[in-house]
Amino acid sequence: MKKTIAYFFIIIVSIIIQKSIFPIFGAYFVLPNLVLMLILALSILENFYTFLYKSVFAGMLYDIFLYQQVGIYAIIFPMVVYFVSFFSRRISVDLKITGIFMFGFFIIFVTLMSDFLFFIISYYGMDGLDFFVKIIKNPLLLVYKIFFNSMFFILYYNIIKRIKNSYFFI
Amino acid sequence: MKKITSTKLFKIFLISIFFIFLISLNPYRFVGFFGNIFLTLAIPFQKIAYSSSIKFSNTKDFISSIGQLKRENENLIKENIDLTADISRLKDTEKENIALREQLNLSLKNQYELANAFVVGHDPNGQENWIEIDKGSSDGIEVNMPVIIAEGVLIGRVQEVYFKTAKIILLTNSKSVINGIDVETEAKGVIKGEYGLGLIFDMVLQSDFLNIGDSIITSGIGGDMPKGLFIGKVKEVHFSEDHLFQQAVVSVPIPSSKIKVVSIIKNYKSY
Repeated sequence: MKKTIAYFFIIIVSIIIQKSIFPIFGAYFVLPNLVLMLILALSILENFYTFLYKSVFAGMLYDIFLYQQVGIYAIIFPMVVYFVSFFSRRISVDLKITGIFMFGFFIIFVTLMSDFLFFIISYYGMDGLDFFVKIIKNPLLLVYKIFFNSMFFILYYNIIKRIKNSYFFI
Repeated sequence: MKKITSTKLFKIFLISIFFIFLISLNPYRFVGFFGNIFLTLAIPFQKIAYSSSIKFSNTKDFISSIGQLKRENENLIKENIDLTADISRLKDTEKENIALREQLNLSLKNQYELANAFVVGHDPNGQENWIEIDKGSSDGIEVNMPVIIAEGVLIGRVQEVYFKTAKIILLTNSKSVINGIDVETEAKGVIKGEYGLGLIFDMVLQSDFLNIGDSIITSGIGGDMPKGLFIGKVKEVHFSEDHLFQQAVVSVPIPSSKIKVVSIIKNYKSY
């Protein structure tokens, strides 16, 4: 219960930072997606079955805060959880080299998948796909975005790991 | 069958189908109740975060532009003198306009009832599609109200309203379409947003003229926006892809990341 409350608090703080601080400093499209990286870190550190429904709730909460139709991130976040679970079962993320490679793969794939699904769903199909293709044609934008996402993923991974190992939250 | 339904993939599939169904229904009232609670609770923290970030950003801009300050200052003094002269001339014209209207028994143009609000959030995807303000239905804000900055620079309109917050869809949003007119040449067209990147003045007849530097304002056609609100200046003119119309790229006067305070036109009377 304490862990859940801590995760909920971190999600809310991340959403506030995402909406009220980063857009002032970021360039077009080059903004890290804090909440997505938080969900990715939680997906790696938590069990699929315990975290699946929490990710749905987190997605619904994120959609409410973003004034968009509830369901967009409520679809994306569980897909992230499933994707991580699919690969984590087959390849160990605990080994150093393999783990770093897997984390990098997760960050890149999750960033692309999230943007793809977001544009398709929120722009109702072909317009969204068209826009996503235009973004892909500027690889530098994606590189910057993935770089910033990686930084925050590492931060969240360490925070979540400390929470899990902390005596207070056991 | 039981084996398939208990798999992880099936669970994800069920969740996705459910939410796709929910998206197509778009149950605003169901969400509105929770939205009111969460957004109202988050507003004070967003205000603090946003105002601190703006101050930090302004300080950063100031430090990085110290070298250019003297030159910018000289340009601004010159522009100030020109604008003071323009204001005096226009005040005189305004008095004449009011007197003539009284004589002809016409009502005064565009009386606005304004509500001021602080900006507390932005589109988190970095596409400058919308902003969030700290006023909502409890302050008389309604959907489709125009939103301006300064004395009459249109930046967007209210798209969604909650109890203490509202979402403003910016003109640069690709879903934003309003009627515009070129002040100098009276060419009429439609202002469309371009995925947060800028504005296009589209569907201008080939027989009309568009010049670089012309001011584009709202035309008031359709009645959804007051006439005469400044939108931007023409930066570039070209033909549309099908060569049927002219198009112009319109520059926005201020990037949305610099906006701190907006005014919502709650009620306007146009003649």
